[in-house]
Amino acid sequence: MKYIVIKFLFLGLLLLKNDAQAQVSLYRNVLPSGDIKKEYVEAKNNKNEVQVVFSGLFLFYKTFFSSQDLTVCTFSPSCSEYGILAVKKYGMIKGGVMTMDRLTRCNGLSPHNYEFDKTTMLLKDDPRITPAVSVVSNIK
Amino acid sequence: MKRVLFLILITNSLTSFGQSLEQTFDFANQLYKQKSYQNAVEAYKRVVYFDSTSLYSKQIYPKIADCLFNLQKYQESADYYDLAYFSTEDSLLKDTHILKKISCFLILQQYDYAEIELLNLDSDLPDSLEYDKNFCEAILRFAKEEYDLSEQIFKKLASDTLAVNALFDKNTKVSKISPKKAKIMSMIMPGLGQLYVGDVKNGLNSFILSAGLFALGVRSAIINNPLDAAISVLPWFQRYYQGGFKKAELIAIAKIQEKRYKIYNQLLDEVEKGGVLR
Repeated sequence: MKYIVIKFLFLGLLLLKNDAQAQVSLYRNVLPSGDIKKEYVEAKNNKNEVQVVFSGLFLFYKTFFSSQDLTVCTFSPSCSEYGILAVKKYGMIKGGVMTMDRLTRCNGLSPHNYEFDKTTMLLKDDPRITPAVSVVSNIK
Repeated sequence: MKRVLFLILITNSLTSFGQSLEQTFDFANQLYKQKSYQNAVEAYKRVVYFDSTSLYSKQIYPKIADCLFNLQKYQESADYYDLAYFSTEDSLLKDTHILKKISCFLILQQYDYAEIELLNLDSDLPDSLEYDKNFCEAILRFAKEEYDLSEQIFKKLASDTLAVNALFDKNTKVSKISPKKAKIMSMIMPGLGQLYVGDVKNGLNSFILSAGLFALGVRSAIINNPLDAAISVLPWFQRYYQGGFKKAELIAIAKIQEKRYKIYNQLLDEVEKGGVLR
């Protein structure tokens, strides 16, 4: 009998503690965690060797160069992200040409050609999405 | 055959009844008890919509708010706690709803709103609510960087006051880290500010980049001419030098936040050790 009572008391205490823990755990993230590390999803899910190499180059650039400068790109996704996404979607040659084209356009001189991304306050230009209106005018 | 079907439909429509308001309310309560919160919210909202005499509203608003709280939809939950607050006359219930609303705002990191709600609470609360109030206020004061006040309240909540003391001493040391100082140090020598806050990797990275570009510029000026060097290297140097000291400030802010976050969670551990139910 004594053991049964102790067992129930112990279980009760455990439940009480768990409830308190559950309540307190709700407030664990009330403060900002200060984690500024970025995760680059663009470099994941590589399907062939070319994509692996370009993803490696992209990560190297992002870690050692891009991490040290300010946000200078006028687009979202940024030029390096555009590059890896274009290579992944269109292959090395077309994707490479598209990236070079993008680099020449990254100057903020023609914002009227692009949709505006309100969350990032940057111009939208994603290689995965075909724009409803062509970016470069067809009128000659 | 068509006539028979037609007759069946007519008789059916005359004899069948929809679910009454009370039945829907009972069903919603049942779902709430089963912790099927999403479905319970839908059922409660249906009752509110058809409840033209506001017979059930008083009971329903806090329940919807609780469901949304459990579904982690804190903003919406706060709105419903607000409705619950205005739908009752009972001061104890009002205070309970306010405390829940404060919880929502704290989780959403909307500290100013939480503080406003805290001021709405009655001065003399029963013990159970007093503990909740203290708990929320301790967190709020810590989040709003009012550490002296936060320390006093945390000491009331935790059993080990010495541990709380030690944690707040640690927190005082964190306050000594200055983002401005880090920025100025990185202006004097690239990477120094990052090293000051303990980020060796970024410090070395910034130093190597800026120093490399500086060396390249000097070499180019000696071999070619200073104008060529300025045109070709200066924009790159400016980009990484300026980026370096601005990043140093951001890294310092992030480091402070990271350390505060750790201390705050250790404080919560101390409260948890106290084992008092919330």
